[in-house]
Amino acid sequence: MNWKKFFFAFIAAFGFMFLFGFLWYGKLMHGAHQEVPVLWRTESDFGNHFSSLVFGHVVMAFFLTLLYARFVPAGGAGVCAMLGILVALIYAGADLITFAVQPLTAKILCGWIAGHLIQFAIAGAMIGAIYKTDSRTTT
Amino acid sequence: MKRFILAFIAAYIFIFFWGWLLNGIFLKDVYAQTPNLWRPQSEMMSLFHWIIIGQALIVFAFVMIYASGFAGGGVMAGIGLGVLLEIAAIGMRLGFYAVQPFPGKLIFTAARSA
Repeated sequence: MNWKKFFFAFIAAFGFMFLFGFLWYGKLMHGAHQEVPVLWRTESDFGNHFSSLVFGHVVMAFFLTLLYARFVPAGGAGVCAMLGILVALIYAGADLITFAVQPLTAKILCGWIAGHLIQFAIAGAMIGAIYKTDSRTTT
Repeated sequence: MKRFILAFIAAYIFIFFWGWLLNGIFLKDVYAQTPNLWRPQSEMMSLFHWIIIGQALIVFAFVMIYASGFAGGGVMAGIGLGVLLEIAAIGMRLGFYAVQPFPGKLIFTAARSA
C-alpha cells in the first residue's frame, strides 16, 4: 500500500465529507431539521460535542479510504464512485430504519438519503482518483 | 446469481434476528432513557415495513460490495469487509451523537445500522 497516496486520499475525503456535511445537513437541511427540534441538541450542547463530530468524520474517512485502497486496488474515479454508491445504500438502509424508530419527517429522510448518495459517490471518486496509480506501481 | 440470492437470504435472516436481539432486548433499557427521541411503540409497529426494507437494502448493498470485489477472499474477506464497514458506521454514529442527545453507549452498540 502506498501510504503517502493513502494519506492524501484520506485528507481529501475527510475535507470533502466534513464540508459537504456542513453545507448539506447543517445549512441546506437546517429548516427541515428544525421541524422536529426535540431530536437535536441545543446549540451550546452541540458545541460541547463538536469534537465527536470531527472525530466521527475522521473515523469514517479513514476506514472508507482503507476500504477503497484494499478492495479496489485498480482504483479509478468511476469504480470507486460506484463503490461509494453501494456504501451509501447501506447508510440509506440505516436511514430507513431510523425513520421507523425516530420521529423524523419524510423530508428529512429523503434529504439524508440523497445526501449520503452524493457524499459517498463524490468521496469515492476523489479517493479513487487520488489513489488510482498506487496499485499499478505497488501491491 | 443463485449464490448471491442465497447469501442475501442468509445475511438478511441473521441481521433481522440480530437487530431484534440487540436493539429490542439487550439495549431496551438504554433506549428507555431517552423516550422523547423515539416513536411510541404503536407508531413504530405501523412503520415496521421500513425496518424490513431498510435491512434488506443494507444486506443487498453489503452482498453487492462483497460479490463485486471480495468474493475471492472467502469468509475472512467477508469478516474484514464487515469490520471496515461497521467501524465506518461507528464514525457516522459519532457524528449523530454530536447532534442528538442519545446515550453515548449507543455509539458502539450499533443502534442505527446493526
